[in-house]
Amino acid sequence: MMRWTLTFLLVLGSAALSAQRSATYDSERQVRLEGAVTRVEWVNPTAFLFIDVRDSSGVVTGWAVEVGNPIDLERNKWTRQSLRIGDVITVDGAPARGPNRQALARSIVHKATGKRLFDVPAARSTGSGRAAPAPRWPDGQIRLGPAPGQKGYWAATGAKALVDSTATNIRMNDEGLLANLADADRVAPMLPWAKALYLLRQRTLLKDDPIARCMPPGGPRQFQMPNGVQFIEQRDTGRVLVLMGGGNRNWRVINTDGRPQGQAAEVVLTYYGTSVGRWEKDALVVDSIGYNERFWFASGGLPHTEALHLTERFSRPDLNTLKYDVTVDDPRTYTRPWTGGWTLQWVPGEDIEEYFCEEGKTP
Amino acid sequence: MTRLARVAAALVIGLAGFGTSVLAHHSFDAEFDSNKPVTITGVVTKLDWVNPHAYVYLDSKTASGEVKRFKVEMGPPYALVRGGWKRDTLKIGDTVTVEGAAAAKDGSDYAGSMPTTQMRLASGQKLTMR
Amino acid sequence: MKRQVCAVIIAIASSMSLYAQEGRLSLGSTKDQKGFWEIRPGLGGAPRPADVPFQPWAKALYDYRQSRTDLYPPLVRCKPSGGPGFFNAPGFEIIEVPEQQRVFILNIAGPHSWRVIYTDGRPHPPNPRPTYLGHSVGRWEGNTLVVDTVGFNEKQWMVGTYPTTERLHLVERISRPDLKTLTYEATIDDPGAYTGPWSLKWTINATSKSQWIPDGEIFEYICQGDN
Repeated sequence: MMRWTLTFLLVLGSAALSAQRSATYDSERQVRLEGAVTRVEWVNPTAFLFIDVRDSSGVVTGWAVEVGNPIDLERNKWTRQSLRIGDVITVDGAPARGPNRQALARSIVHKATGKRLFDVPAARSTGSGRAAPAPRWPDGQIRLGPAPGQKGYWAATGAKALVDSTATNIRMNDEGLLANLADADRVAPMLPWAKALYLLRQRTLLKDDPIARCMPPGGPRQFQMPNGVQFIEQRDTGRVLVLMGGGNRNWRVINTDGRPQGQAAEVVLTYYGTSVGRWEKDALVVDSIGYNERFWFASGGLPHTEALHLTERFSRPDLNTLKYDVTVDDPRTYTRPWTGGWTLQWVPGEDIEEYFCEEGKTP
Repeated sequence: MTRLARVAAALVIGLAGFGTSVLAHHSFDAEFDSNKPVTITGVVTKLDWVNPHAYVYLDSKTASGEVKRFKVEMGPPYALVRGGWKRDTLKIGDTVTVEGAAAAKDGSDYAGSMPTTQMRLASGQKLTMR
Repeated sequence: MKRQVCAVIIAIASSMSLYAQEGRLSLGSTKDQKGFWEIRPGLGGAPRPADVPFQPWAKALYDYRQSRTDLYPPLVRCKPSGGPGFFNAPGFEIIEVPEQQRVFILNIAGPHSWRVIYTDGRPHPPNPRPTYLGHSVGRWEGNTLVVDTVGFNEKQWMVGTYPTTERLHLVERISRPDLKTLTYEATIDDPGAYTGPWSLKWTINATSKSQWIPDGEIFEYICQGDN
């Protein structure tokens, strides 16, 4: 019998599984496992527990139990010492599709004490209910970072699908999977080839998302990832850096020194594009070109080509809110430019935690 | 494992790894012999327009009819642009001649561009390659 | 009179030393001196194995890694590396953000990622989750940024083929005596693998292969794209 090392998976309480998880686990079914912990793998982005489950005839089978993101677990006082080798636990969760003895845990109870080791981890605190004003630089310009002496970063905890703003009420999960494929036409004005590709990606549950191979979240995708982003505004040198907590902890440069945008025929094609930005009143407007085609620029599998030209607008109506709007202009993919957006939430008093992508595991 | 990665690995083991990268960013003189200029005529199969060096790949037929696949390192794109290059200057299938590149010291089908290295395009135009 | 003059000189000297401190060169790019640190292989600086106080298991692992020319460090497969391993070719930038009491280091290759060094006086957390980059706190000692890091995982080869463990306590000293010079010293204090601390040092200057590139800019290189 092949002994698996199981890692703990913590279900983050959301009814909708992530795309990768949807492909791996069957949320329509439930499995209950009881067994002794044989190993704990406490790694980003998902922790795993391994348990030996003994059936009624005494046959022991190893199971892998996915428990979720260690960072979220630790917020809820769950640490890698919470369980010891040999502890017997009862796991309720969604079983993996196919033959693998693997499950995504929804709850875990420590058998001896009856203690519920976790339920749905509490949602991250996103600051006070009162909308305090956004911090500003001495000259009055909005700060995209913390006020002096403070710390914090931006998290995409709310709805964050990239959808044409003219569309309303499209039901979609956190990863951009449509509840109803017939809504595809309204998501974005796609050319026929693009719509066909989009539908294929949707039907296959986004299983080919390059994110799973640790490819970068270029374009708006970086603002849809868990683990947050922060902006470093180098006003003297004329740059804004975007430091990401997701993807592979990448960084991206926005030049705000007034240089002209690069020439499409001359720029090196990259994952994060070539970006120039300027402040227009209280919004940082960023123009980007020069994207390669090796990544998915938004969740849900929306296609793009090297002709992609993005205009992003960042504004901060209050301390806790970053309003992100992006105009997508790719005449080889879409019939016209279109605009979508969402907001990110300020996480006060905290720092981005380290996360590096491990291939095959979801962020 | 690409050749570059193997070079990187060798550097790691030899030099305790400091300054290694998967790019195997090299010293020109360690890899190429400036005193051995070569001329390569061939058909363009690929252009990698990337930092920190662009690369062009040419299929070149020898006198005996054997086809050798040459790789030529060029300068960084921002410098090439100053010399008149664009990302789409070369088309796959163009016949071009690289004049005065430095041959690889290990004898492989690899050459590096020096400030004097030039490419004669299918149109007859000449561009410096660094 | 002489005593008064001395007192005045001392007073001026003390205040000037404050200005000298404030007047030190930035470790990175500034408005008037833009650029980045270009790294070429061969930075060197590690001691010879004979001078490293290995524990026997660590020496065995070191020898094994050295013996296998087909065994590549995780960096070559696009995995990250903290500490000295972060300063890899083709280069990096150091960005001081005194207003946020942080120093960031951005590398081009490796996973194209960023280190953060907290200079706000915070302590290390008591039981840090082991990570690739660890938890770094920093302070200035004159012109030298002293970075103290704990909480490394064991999935990386941070110091070439020399092993490290979760018990590593790394102290890095970084300074920029002049525009083109960067000095780096890392002390490896790892009771899990060594019987005592040991150091590596390297210097970038006007004559080294690695160089400060004036007006140069860091660029994108994504390891996964080529591997």
